Amino acid sequence: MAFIIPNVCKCLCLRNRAGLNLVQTASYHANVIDHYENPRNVGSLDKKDANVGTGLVGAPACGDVMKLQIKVDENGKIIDAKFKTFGCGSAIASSSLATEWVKGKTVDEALKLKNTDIAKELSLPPVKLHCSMLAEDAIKAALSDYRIKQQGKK
Amino acid sequence: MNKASIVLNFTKYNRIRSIKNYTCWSCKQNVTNLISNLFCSNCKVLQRPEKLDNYFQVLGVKETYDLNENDLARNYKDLQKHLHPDKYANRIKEEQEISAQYSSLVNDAYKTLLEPLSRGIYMLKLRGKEISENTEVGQEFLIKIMEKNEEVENAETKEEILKLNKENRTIINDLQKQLSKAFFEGDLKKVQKLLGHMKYYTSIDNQIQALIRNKGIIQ
Repeated sequence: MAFIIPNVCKCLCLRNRAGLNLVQTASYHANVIDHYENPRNVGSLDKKDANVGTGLVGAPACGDVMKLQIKVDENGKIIDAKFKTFGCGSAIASSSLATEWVKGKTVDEALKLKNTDIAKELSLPPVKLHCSMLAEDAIKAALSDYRIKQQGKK
Repeated sequence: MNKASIVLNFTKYNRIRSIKNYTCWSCKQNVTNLISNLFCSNCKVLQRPEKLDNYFQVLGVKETYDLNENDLARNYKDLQKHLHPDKYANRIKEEQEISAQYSSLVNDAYKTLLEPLSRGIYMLKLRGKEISENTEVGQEFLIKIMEKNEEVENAETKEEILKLNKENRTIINDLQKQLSKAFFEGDLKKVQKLLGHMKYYTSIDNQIQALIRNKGIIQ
């Protein structure tokens, strides 16, 4: 846990120190800060590759945009996942976690991933549940894009 | 500042509203008008805000998307000149509380109406609607937004950043014009769509402004 503390401080330094209070320190769960500060799998895969599925989703109510890509091998297993999110900390953390979780899963297993699992792992407050929803939508969109590409191949 | 000088200060604005059957909470007198819409004409004590549910009325401006920002700022400053809690330090507790609530309401109203995005969202809310998560924006639009965000992320030189800023502001201004038309025509579906788009461009604007600040760029 020790490495979280400097991260929390760094995060709060952006604000006016005089405004520091308990409510603010408690507002982001350590897991969110960890993914936000050290996002996993940021980047892009070749979207023209037939084995890559790309999901691009947005939340008009908060102006977030999220791209999530998966690369699937011949056995239907997800061997790589990348994301790029422009949005709030919770949206970034949700998509970062989602890429971690889908890696190594089969396409069918990945389809079963629920936003509630992401929200639980990150301890998202109710107002931020839609961020995890966005991550679920992005996975679904990427899987669907992959399937469409595969059907086109046959 | 005593009551007499407050009254003297605001008489020049001459905003006296006639009202029927109004009873002052402090002196319990029935009065027919409020001075500057704020003070009892009998005892000169600050009255509670009446139009709590409409920010346009709170600030005394016409309810339209194309509001005149100068009028808005002028009314805001006029109101705060009378309402600021500092002016009530030596007054009774109730009046202090009214001043605190009223000036905070006026702040919220001003902040909401000043920005084109929040003004649009507020006007949509007055019409019982909001931009929902399900508002469809379309893949092509999202690709455009993703690319724009990446451009901002990769921008390094002053020229690049200022160019992006100019382009983005032009888009927001154009959306503002389209929104005004959609509100005028009462096309709320269109309003929702345009506000959704504006939300994205406003997010990008925030990124650009942060970049300008962090890099210490002087325009």
